[in-house]
Amino acid sequence: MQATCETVREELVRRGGRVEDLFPACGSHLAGCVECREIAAVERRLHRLLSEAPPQADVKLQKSILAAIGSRPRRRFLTWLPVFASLLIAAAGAVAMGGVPGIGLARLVPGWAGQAPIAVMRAAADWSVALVAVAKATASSVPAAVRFLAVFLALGGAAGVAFLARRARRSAGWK
Amino acid sequence: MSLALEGDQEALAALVARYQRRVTGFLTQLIGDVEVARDLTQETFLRVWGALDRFDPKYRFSTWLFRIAHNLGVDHLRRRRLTTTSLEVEDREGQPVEVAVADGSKDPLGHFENVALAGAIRAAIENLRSEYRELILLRHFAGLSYQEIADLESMPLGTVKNKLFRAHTVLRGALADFL
Repeated sequence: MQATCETVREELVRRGGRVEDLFPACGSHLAGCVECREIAAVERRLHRLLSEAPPQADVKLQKSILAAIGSRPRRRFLTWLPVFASLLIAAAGAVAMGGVPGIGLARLVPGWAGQAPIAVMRAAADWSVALVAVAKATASSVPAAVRFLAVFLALGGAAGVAFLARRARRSAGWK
Repeated sequence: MSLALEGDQEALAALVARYQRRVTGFLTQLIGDVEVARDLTQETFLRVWGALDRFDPKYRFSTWLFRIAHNLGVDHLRRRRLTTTSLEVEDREGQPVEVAVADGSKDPLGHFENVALAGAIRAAIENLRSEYRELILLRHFAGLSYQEIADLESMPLGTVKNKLFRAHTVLRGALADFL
């Protein structure tokens, strides 16, 4: 099938005027079409001109990019993994130290019916009873404002730990 | 690419070395300011680094990279339009005409030794219809293939082919003295 002038010229634009890269149908059209051959020649020159237009590689900019990347952490799940792990451990600890709920939950787990784990959980429950008693005594003797401040400081401390952990990752820069 | 996705620093350095020139060239021509384009090039790679986890390897990296660069460039132009007070004069018919302030240090084609040629290329590209201009920048300054442009612009390959053909027809006329 013979290619039309428009098809040939579209292909010439696409291939930067390189006649040798054209499909055979376009090639045979070109052999008999003076105008398309002229366009092929002009397209080669235009392509060369435009390919010179972008600036040269900038090594200084590349170094600056790599330095900037090195100073910025990736938002990866791994970055937050220590925080998630800490929260999970704290939650597990809360359940374990929560007295009766801890034992109740442990009994539901298959293979935990043995006496040793139950004994451990009971010991934990005893500790939790003692801790709860201490907490209640503290709550009745310490003003609410002080307790609020303590909670605020604890949360601030946790945020500080998370911030420092992320900052430590950041210091692993580009070589 | 797979090494870069795993956070391998040397692989990422190779990606920066491979694409920096094209990203800067594309942004320089899009923005019209070399220094801003350099800043945006850096921001492009920082965004890429921050979002590598979300990159789907079944797509082309270059398409993704230039989409980020393009969005940053367009955002910058939008902000600049909002914050810049334009200098306007009136033409013969009383219509407002914006006056461009010449600044040689910011010329995106300032590396050309032939100043007249650089000016002609710049003017020819600037005078293109915006839809053609963008495709020309993606093709010749970003160095993307037709298929990559079609993916990035979410348009059929045939449309890209046709628009670039028309854009080249305009450019051939505008740059006839240099061809």
